[in-house]
Amino acid sequence: MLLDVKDLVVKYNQIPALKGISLSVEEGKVTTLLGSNGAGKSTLLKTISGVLKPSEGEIIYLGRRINNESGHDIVKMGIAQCPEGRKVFPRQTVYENLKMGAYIRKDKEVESDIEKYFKQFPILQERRNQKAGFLSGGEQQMLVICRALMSRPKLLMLDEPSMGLAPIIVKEVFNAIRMVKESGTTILLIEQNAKQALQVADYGYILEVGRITIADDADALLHSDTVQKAYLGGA
Amino acid sequence: MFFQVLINAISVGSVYALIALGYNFVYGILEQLNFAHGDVYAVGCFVTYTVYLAAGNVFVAMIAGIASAVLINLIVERFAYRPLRIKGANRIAPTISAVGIAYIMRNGIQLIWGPQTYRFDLNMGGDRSFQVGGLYIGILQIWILAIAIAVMVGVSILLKKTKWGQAIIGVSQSLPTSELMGIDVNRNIALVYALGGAVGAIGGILFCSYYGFIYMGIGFAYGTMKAWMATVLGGIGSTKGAIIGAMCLGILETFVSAYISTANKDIIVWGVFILFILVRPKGLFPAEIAEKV
Repeated sequence: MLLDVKDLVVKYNQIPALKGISLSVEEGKVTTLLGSNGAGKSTLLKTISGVLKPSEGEIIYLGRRINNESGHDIVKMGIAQCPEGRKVFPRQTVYENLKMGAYIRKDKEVESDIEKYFKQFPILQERRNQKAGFLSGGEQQMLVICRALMSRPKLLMLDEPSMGLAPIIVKEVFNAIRMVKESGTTILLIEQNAKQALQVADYGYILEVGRITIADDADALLHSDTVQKAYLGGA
Repeated sequence: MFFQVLINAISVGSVYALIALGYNFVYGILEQLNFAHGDVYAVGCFVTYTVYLAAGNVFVAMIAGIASAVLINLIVERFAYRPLRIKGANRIAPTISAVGIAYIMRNGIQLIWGPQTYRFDLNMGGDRSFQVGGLYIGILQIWILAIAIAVMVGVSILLKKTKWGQAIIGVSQSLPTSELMGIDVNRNIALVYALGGAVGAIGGILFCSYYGFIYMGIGFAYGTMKAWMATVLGGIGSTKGAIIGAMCLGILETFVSAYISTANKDIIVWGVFILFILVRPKGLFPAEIAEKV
């Protein structure tokens, strides 16, 4: 396993947001974590990326305990995150945002990587010199995915990439996630849009008020009655 | 007379520009009203003065002065501002701490150097000038302009073209998102205070050289206050705004002194300033994109 989370308890001001959860992320696969608002999904991502510290349990990445590492060191170990609400650098250009993603790199291939993503996402190429704050929501989401990939991560964590986007744009975002998957990058995807997430994922967990209630292959979840009723609108 | 006054005005403006640039650095990133900016570099100016008297070398003296301002800012950031930031204190808390630092610096100067005004002359040609078509240009004025332009160009290149500069711009937009890029945000902020102190100290040393005096209150009256005015005039958070706002302030002050009244300069300049911000509350170059989108 690339990432193992074991019995993790995380508290906000003494109140537990995660009440002892365990999950694994397999290398080369897409693992998704589904749940409604307030279930603790973002708390988990923030804890893995070192923004929050767990009060119990451990996070094992590449066989190493990373509970107490600082956020910027975790990025250097190969974990990148696309935060909730996109969070581009609004006053910097698209190009500069991508350069920011490569902050930890010292190799000479940064420019060629940028060109690669410009080819994959021509809209970013078109807007390379525009300030990222002026992009549409969908364009910003593409930008933050590419920005995260610029660090050449082993694990990409996406926090609700479909949030606040029109259905047609959501499809584009998930196509982009498929492209990332095909390139071999391991993904941990957090979503409320269960249908889209389970279609791209290999394995899924369902999180409800701080506990994991269901864990199974994504296909099985997609066809399970419980999940259908609770997360797929009974369709 | 007009062009002669203009030459003087540009000298004053470029000194203010450096002071405002150093101030704007810290403000632009943390939105902290750094009350201590002027008083910290005032210490740097006094150190410069003392080292110059002892060693007689202007470069050694300046480097010692700049280094002392940098060192003070690093210490203050580490022990007074950073713990507040990490504990998530209200933004007003570090501002009040900065007021305290300002008083400590000023009284520290009084303890070491006393309350009197000293003549400040680093022999940068303040008494020599050359004549161009009836206009007198001081050697010191040339120095001031050259140093100011060099520092401003240097800082602009640093911010726009280097990885570290881009990281500063990133941190100024979002601390948590910058951390996700692998930027060590705390170290980055400490360096910003260091650089802000250095640029401020250079401005302060040139200010003291231009006017030829130094005393314990120089930092607040001629530094912090001018930097605030310039920053608000230019548009808060904009480097270009700080520089151009400071230039406007220097030009306005010098022309008012020359053509209207030196004694009533402050009344007129502050009056114009208040009227200006009534007309353009966001300054000359308002930030085009909101901080958080």
